[in-house]
Amino acid sequence: MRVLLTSFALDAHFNGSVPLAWALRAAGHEVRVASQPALTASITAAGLTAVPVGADPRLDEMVKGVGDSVLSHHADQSLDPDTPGQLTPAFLKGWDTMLAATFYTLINDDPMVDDLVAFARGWEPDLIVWEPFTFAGAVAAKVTGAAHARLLSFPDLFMSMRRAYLAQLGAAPADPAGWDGTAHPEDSLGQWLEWTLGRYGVPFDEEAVTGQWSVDQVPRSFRPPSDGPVVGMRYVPYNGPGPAVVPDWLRVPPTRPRVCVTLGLTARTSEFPNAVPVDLVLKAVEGLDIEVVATLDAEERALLTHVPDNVRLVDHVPLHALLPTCAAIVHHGGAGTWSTALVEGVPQIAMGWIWDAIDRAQRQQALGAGLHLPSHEVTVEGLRGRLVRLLDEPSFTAAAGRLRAEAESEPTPAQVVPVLERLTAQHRARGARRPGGTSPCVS
Amino acid sequence: MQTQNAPETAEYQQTDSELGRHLLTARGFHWIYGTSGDPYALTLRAESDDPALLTRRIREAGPLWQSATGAWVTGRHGVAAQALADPRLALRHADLPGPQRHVFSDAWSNPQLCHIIPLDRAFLHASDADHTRWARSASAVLGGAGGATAEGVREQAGRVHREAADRTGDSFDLMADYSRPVATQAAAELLGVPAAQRERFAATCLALGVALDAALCPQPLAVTRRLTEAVEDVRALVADLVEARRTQPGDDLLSTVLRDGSSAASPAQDALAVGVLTAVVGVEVTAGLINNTLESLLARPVQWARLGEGPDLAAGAVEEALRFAPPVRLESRIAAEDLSLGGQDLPAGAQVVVHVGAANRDPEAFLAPDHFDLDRPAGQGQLSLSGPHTSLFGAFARLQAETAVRTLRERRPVLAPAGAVLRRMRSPVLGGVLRFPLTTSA
Repeated sequence: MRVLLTSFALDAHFNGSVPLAWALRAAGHEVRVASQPALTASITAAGLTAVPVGADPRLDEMVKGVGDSVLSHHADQSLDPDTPGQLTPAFLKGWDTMLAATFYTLINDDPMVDDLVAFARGWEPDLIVWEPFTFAGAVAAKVTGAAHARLLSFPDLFMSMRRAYLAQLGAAPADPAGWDGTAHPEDSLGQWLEWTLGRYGVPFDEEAVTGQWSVDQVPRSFRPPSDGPVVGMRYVPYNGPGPAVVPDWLRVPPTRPRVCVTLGLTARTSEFPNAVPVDLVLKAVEGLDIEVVATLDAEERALLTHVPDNVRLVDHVPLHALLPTCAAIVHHGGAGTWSTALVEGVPQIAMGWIWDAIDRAQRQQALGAGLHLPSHEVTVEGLRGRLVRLLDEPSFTAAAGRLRAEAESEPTPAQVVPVLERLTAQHRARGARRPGGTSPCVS
Repeated sequence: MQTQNAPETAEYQQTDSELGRHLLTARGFHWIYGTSGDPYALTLRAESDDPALLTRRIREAGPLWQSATGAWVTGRHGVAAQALADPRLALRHADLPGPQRHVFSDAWSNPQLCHIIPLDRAFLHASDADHTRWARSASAVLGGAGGATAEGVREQAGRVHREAADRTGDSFDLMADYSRPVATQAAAELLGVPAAQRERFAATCLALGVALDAALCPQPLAVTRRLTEAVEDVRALVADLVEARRTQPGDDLLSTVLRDGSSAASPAQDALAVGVLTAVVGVEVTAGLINNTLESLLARPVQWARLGEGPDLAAGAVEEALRFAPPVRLESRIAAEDLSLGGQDLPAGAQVVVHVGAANRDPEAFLAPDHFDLDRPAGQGQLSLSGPHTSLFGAFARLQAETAVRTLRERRPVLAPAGAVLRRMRSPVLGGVLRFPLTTSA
């Protein structure tokens, strides 16, 4: 079958789709990856075939312009629907309104959606797999009749919030004077998708937000309750797009417990703020009988006042090669780092302060596989104490091992491919079959 | 003359995607600016924040201060009065002929939020000269002075209100069953809308009711579409009436403008403007003033009871409601030239927003400003309905509200709220009432 993957142009959101793309390709399917031109190099570096659509979304300028305000609305805010008192109407409306205005419509602007729809009309994919904020994928699927699914690389708190928000809007009093002509005039995301689909004469329904099903790479312990169909898939680290090269020092086992310190790649390559006080982090490890591998680039090193003797500074090393040698990891909380540490069974100190990073870190702590330390609460003593606990108390390693086993119990991307074939056959609009084409699905 | 050069409607055409994105961006920025606690941005958000608290914060932020939205805001009575009286502070940009449209370039660039959508076709961004001429030519009917025509209007009002009050049962909704119908009917009679067009006129006025809010606070796409369609519809309706009055004049508002404005370049265009403004501004301001007056009075049963002592108290009640709960809370202006105001030097093109609600409760101007006082001496300078388009209907709205108070006090003396007043979302200017349930029996 023909599978179109799409993600807006940000490595952190694209990377999670690479192993599935490989699996589809290795199973003989045709695969294209559509994104704005800025992602073309990353797509091709991953060995995949790129389809540039639209113009680059200028995310950095957006973050510079309004990032502080948008992020401050979400900072330190749990998105867990089970945390009482968090998902208030005002919070959810601000989330929906601000992200629709500055983010969803930016990364799925009209030219990008038009190009994606035009490509889908010409190439006629059987299945469109879209990154969960790249709603253009859902639009292209609904316009062309392709089956479509979301691919989740982080806990689906977006959908929990969406459900909570729609429930709040539904409970609001109806307007007798008839101002509220549409179902949910305060649903900015729904409104935008309504007029975007309307450009192609297709009515909006919630499937444009949920997909027909979701492929979820997040271990079950971290999945919020879902009311849509979910296909579980094991997270397989890709850790691109930087060159994955095993350095000499990594080829011999460490003589002391090894601890990885990383701030991830997104803050390096975008205007998304690095909230981690990295100088404090390295001060916290000073004098411990451990070997610290800190993956810091020149800009991050410039924040250091002192490099302790037990710290090895490296610019970049593939985490999936490094982490099997590590006893613990201290990181910024990002999804790619967190997922890689999880499948490698490494206890984590996650410094998440926003979005799902908070809830991932908190749940990880509740499951005994790590500790949460919001980046703005980092102190030398606080971090050192937590790290010593992670290294000294075997329960953390044991719990991390349980999560690793849980992750490994999910089918691999290769095993998921036949499931996608079956679901595609079920969901794909009959009329969308290519004239003269081969059967879209393996029976 | 501005109205002669009214742009073709084609200039206003945008796809749903273009208009929707524009509204979404403006709305997003009101939220973004509100995250830092900016009380003007929070006012425009029009969410659950306590309006009384925001009003106080706007007043206490300084005599004239710049909001994160770019607007210079005042909630001080002295500066507000000065701004509202300053002819250099206009409803439109001096250097922007044609529609007051601002195109947002990027989703992250600070957008110009002074005219969210161009409402030139509704005559809401007219020049001072136009307004002066319209007020003069309409004064025989709208001016509020005595005279045969005004007397006729008063008698008409009394009849309309009595009929509306007598239609109500044991319980009714003040907005749906009283304020809106009487305001709409009174406006229809002012304009001489024939019986066959009354239903269409009422439906159009309902959709036009968001206009003053829509100028500053983005409405949802569907609401905005209904508004702009209603503007075209009311223009067509009024234009037909004007055409008919040119050959068969009467004593209605449109005939009056045609007659008294006959020295104007185009009396027909002026009559169209005044007629459209009656529907766009007159109806909603009148209904709002009735609602706010009754809400203030019924929350204070002693004061409601006192109204029975003398019908003259009704005028004081309405005047106090104008101060205490303005039917139009925000007045937005654009500096036509560089000027000084409230100790600040403002460049030409700067937006100045007068928070009438805040200024009307300024303790430096009013004794016990948070106290609703029927006997408050007149002449202390409350600032409601002193904008060019709101003052045009000041006498009309006052007359209707006074008549409402008198009529309801007389015919429904045991009136009391039967539930909370529910207001429209995204209504920072009008605080538009959706529901105001009342009971007429103890």
